[in-house]
This record gives sequence, C-alpha cells and structure tokens, in this order.
Amino acid sequence: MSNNREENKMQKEVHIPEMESLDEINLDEIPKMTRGSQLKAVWKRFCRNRLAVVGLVIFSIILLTAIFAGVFVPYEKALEQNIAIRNQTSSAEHWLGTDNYGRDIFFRIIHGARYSLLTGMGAVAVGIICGGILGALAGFRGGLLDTIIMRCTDTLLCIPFMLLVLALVAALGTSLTNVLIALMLAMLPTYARVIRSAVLTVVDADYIEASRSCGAKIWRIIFKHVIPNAVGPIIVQATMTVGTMIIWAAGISFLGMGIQPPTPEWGAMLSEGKNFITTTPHLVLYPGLAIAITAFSLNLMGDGLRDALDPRLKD
Amino acid sequence: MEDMTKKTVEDSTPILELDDLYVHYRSEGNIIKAVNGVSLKLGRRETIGLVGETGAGKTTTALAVMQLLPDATARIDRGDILYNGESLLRKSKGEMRAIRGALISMIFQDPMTALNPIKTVGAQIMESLTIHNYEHKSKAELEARVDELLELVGIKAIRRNEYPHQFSGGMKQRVLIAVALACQPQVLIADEPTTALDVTIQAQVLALIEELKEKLGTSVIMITHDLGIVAQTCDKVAVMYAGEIIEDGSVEDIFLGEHHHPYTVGLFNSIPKLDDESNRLHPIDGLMPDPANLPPGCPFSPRCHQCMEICTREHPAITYQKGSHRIKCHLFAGGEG
Repeated sequence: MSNNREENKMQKEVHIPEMESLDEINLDEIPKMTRGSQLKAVWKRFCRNRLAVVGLVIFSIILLTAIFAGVFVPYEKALEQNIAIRNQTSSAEHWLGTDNYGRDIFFRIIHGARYSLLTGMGAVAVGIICGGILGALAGFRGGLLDTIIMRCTDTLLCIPFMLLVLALVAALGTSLTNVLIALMLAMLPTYARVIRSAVLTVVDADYIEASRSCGAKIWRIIFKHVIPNAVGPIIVQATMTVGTMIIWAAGISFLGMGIQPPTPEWGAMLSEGKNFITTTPHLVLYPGLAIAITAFSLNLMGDGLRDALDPRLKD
Repeated sequence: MEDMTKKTVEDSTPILELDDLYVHYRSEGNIIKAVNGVSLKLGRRETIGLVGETGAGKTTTALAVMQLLPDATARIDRGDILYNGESLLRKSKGEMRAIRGALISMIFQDPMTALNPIKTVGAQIMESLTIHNYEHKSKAELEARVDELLELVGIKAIRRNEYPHQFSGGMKQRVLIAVALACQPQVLIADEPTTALDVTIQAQVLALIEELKEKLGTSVIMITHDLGIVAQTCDKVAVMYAGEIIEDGSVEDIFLGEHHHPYTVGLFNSIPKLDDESNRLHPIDGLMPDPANLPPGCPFSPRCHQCMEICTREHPAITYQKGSHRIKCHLFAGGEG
C-alpha cells in the first residue's frame, strides 16, 4: 500500500526539464499491447509486399488442394489405369492428359501434392526444430558444447547429401516416415549451422545482457529475445528448403528408395515419365511445373514474411 | 521505540559492500587480472562514483555485483559481495535472478544497443515487471505501471507501442532507466549512462537519475570517466586503476583534499581548463598496464612522475588515511596518515 502512495507522490512531483505536458493524454485511449495487435501489424506489412501475397495465395491453393484432395477427386481415380487412353495430351476429359498407364495426370498431381508437401514441410519442420535446438544451444552456450555440436555437424556435412540420405533409407527401409527421417537428418547440420550463426549475431547484443540483468531465465531469453531477432535467416532458409526437400524426396523416389509406385508422388511421377520425355514430354512437364510453382510460391512468401517480421523495415 | 532502534541499526549497514574482491579472466592460458582487491561500501541513498580509464575494471566490478560475468572465462577468485549483509556469491542462480532487476538493477552504457530492436518499448519495460510479479498483479495493473514509468522518465505513455528505432538516443536511455527502475530497486548501477549522449541530454538524464534517487531512496553506483559528472552527482568517489581502488573518499576529499594519488592528480590535470592559456592538453603519459601482466610493485609506477625505487618493488597498501579519505601510494608512507 505504501508503495502505491509513494508512486503517486513521485509521479506528481517529478519534473523533467524540457518535457512536454502530459495532461492532455487520456490513458484509456492508448491501445493495449496484445499479441493480436502485433500480429495485425505483421500482417499489414506482409500485405504491402504484392509478390509475397501472390506467393501466399498460390501456396494456399496448393495446400488446400493437398488437404482436401479426397473431396475433389477420390483417391482411386488417381490410381485407375486404362491402357486404351495412355499417353494422351490435354483434353476436356483429362485436363492434363494421361500417363503411360492411362492414369489422369491432373488427379495424380492433386493427390501427389499431399505426399510432396508432407515430405517437404515435414522434413523442414522437424529439421528446423531439432537443428534449431542444437544450433541455439551451441551459439548461446558456446565453449565445449559448441565445439562438440559443430564438429559433429561438420562430420555430417562431409558426407555427400544424396549418399547420406540413401544410406539412411537403405538402413531404415523404404517408407514415407523413413524418407522423412533421412531427409531431416541430412538437413539437420545445415539448419544447426544457420541457426547457430543467426544466434551468434544477437547473443552478444547488449539487450540480451540487459534482459539477464532484469533477472530473466535462459529459456525466456532464448525464446523472447534471441529467436525473434534471429528468425529472419531461419525463415528464409526454411521456405527455400521446402522446395529443395520436395525435389530431394523426388530424387529418392526416382532411385526407387522412396515412396513406392503406384503412389502418386510428384518425384515418382517425374521418374516414371522420364522414359517418355522425347515422345510425350507432358508426363514430366506437369509434375515438374507443380514442384517449381510450389517452390517459387514458398520463396516469395518467405521473403515477404522475413520483411514483415522486422519492424525496422516498417515504413 | 524498538522499531526505531532497529531501523537505525539496519540503516547503518551498507546496502552493498564489496569486500576485497578479485575477478580474474582466464583466456588461452593468460590470466587477466581485471579486478584486484576492490573494497567498497555503498550506504543507503548514497551515490558512489567509480572513476577510471577504460580497462580499469569498472564494468567488471559492476558485472560481478550483478553476477553476470561470463561463466566460461571469468571467476571471482577471492572476496565477497554483500547485499544488505548477505553474500551474493552464495546465492543460487534462482535466488540471484530474483535479485537482479528487482533489488539491484543496471543501466547499460549504450542505449542504442541495449534495447531489443524488435520489441516495443512498453513490452520491454513490461518484461521486468512480469518476471518479478510476485504479487500476481493483473495485466491491467502492470500496464498501468508501464505507463506510469514511461511518464516518470518523461516519455508520453502513448508512445509505449513504438519500437526503439523510433526514439532518439536520449529517449532510449530514458526507456532503459524506466526498465531499470521498474521494480524500484535498492541499488542502481549506472554504467556510463551518459557516454553515448550529447551534453544537453546528458544533463537531463543525470537530473532524472538524481531526482529518482531522492524519490525512491535508491543507492547508485555511478560508473564514469567524467569527473564533472562525479562532482555533480556523487557523495563518494573511488578512483580505480588497473583493477584496484587507489584512492577513495568523499567528493570533498577527492576534489578539495590536500593530498592525492599521483594518478588522481594526473586525471585532474588532463581536464582542459577554461582559464588555461596553453594550447595543449596535459594527458597522463603512457598506457594502462596489460592486466595479464601487471608490474610487480605499484601498478601505476611505470607512468608515475614521482616513482621511487620502492614503487617498482613493493605493492603499496593504504598509506594515507584522513577521515574517509584513503590513498594507496608509497609517497605517503612517511607517516602523514
């Protein structure tokens, strides 16, 4: 109670030289600091970047297609073979034509989006979380822990990416989950390094020390100060690599170690179609375009998001 | 009555006491002796000025009090830090976190970098309040306190949703002061709070610290190398050189006393004087000794004009004492103390 009185007194008596009058301010008019209002500000800044919005719209369409693929077209339709109509080009009945088994390419791309996005985003998400924890610890703690984590990632980086993934899939067996695990493990060192360097740029900042001087706990500092400040390069890295991951997953499927036919996966479709590239190029064209458009929209979105999350670039 | 006596006893114990503190950094086989036997007593409502050149160990002393020294390299080798009679060195990490920001807080040197660029200033003041919200105040109460703090340091509360880059340097420094004062600390460590500011803003910030000190009864450790600031704000002064306090006393002792350490004399001589016609400044020759390789005797001996044979050999103890005024120098070993 006495505290309160003291504060009130203090407020009345303090005179700061050259200070503007505070009388006319009505405290109720000040908008409250809420998470919602901050998100709104980020959204507003994101919308100002037209290309990013285009990216978001395209990616949303692809994502919704993937989620509701079964509503548009039953899964069986994507597997239905009809030798009579094989290798046809676009028509009213089969919008993007048919493949060498007579399956509708459009339906297969719709259902393939599920597997491709799942492998791409899943591998990146898990990779970012695991790599993020390792990288943040290494960067924040430094010392011996840093050395151990970084030398391990160096070792992993020495092994060619594809070889590592193939070895892992060969050891674990071919399945969607194992492909995910292999991709995640292979990407982990890259993420750990990116995040470590992002953390290193902010960890010595005075505001981290200032936060410690306020009595903040280490995890509070990492989550409230370090990660939000280091998130730019992480977001860019993440959105860029979703595309890469989709391509790598396709590569594994191509080599027969990934998702097995007849599952309609974009990469598997590419590899099946490659034998007919000279005669019926649309077999590789459409799945290839699907991968390219997805990766492109993600990149646009990532750039916009990075800018939107940084209030220094506000105006 | 009993309360009264108890209170006076409590008041007479210093709020913060450094007792023969040694802080050494270890890096690549070198031992860097940053702080060597610093003893200080900070009374309640008192301001003590810590003066010295860059690298004299002022900031290390402050960080030691906050227990924010880098774990990997720094170690407190000897001595103790007592807050209100209790040793801070024996506190657990959790207990120390409860003290930092709530009972002892710090204003950092550079307001340009000490605020998180991607959080609103209101949120940054709020952080300290939330961490130490032991009374479980509601969010609305805390927000009201944020507004109150901003106005206390002379910033319109309406600006609390703005980001640090929208403020000028002086305003940022005020925000930092608001953060440091959020929980009404007993001890405020101001690490060169005005170095990054221009002179007008400097005066405002100092007036603000002074005023808040009066209102809140906070004790202040003012780290600076500006003797003008010391004369203006401090009750006591400690002059640091190579990690040691070579002279300390009240402001009157340091500014008006009859005897001084040759280093203090040098510091005063290096201030340009308005009535002095000469074209050159009078710096102290030479540089601070390498803290990894301190001379065996008096650390100031290589630069001292009055250096005697004993100075290079033997480390001086306190040789001069008159009231609160103490000097560590062989010049006064003759018995004037």
